[in-house]
Amino acid sequence: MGIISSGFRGRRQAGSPALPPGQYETASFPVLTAGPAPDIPTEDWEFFITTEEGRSHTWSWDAFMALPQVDIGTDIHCVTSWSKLGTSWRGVSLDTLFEDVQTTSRFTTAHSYGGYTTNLPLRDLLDGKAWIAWEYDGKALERAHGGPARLLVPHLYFWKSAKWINGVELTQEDIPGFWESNGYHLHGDPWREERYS
Amino acid sequence: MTGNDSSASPGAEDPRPGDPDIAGTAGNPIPHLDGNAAAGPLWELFRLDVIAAIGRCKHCGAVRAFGEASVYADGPGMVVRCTSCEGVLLRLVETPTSFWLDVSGLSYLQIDRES
Ligand SMILES: [Zn+2]
Repeated sequence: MGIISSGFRGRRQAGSPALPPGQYETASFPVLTAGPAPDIPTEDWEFFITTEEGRSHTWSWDAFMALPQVDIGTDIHCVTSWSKLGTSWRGVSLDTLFEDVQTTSRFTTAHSYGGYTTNLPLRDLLDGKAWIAWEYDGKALERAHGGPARLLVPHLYFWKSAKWINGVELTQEDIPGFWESNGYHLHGDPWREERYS
Repeated sequence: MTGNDSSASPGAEDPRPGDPDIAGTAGNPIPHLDGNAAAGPLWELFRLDVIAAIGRCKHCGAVRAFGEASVYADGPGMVVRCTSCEGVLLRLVETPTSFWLDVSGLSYLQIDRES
């Protein structure tokens, strides 16, 4: 998993090493959502990181687009059992966004426009494992898939890759998000089948 | 989710059917159903017919028949939302070992006793 790693290996069969346990491969990109898709014009869009001390780092769309952009080739795995192999994205690494953020927190809550939340340990967002993605398959990310921008954390089940991302709040404790507070696993590693709590 | 034998109307009733951008593909809006879609699972759990029940939304105070709510059923769980404010009224997740039911978005549910 990582930048330009798996995007061009082609399609693989069920049971291949690319598929985590209990997953099947799909060629389509199902739209799974817990509510209506919010409509966020990029001129109103903002991304924030807030620390435990109440410090806030924010980026407008233009400031975000001026950051270093990377191409990401990766497999994605939805907890509802579909996996999509070799997807390609473009966006900004969370490492870039966290460069000037001072924190002792070990956990985060990702907040989306529309109210969705999901919790992630900070270590799962850093070291080249997570991005804010705004392009999918060479085109602007469609609103149904989280456009203008979504969190992309492909090494965890896809409910962690929050659509319509608005910001990341650093927290001292691991606070269950929308699905994690109602039956789903706090962490969500597909290779360990961390589906349910 | 099982037990859904209701006459739920599909997402073609989306309030913004003409908005192609809301869809993965044009003419394919974010799929949601009406409250009937939640009736089967809740009947299975409680032997309770909630379709005609009157619920009060904790977020905006709207009082409506449960059957009028919006149901998003294609995600990791079922999410029932208020049609007035889109706040979450109810969530139901089915795992291999449990049902997880969150009704914290409803301040009450008034259920008819007639049988
Ligand atoms: Zn409401």
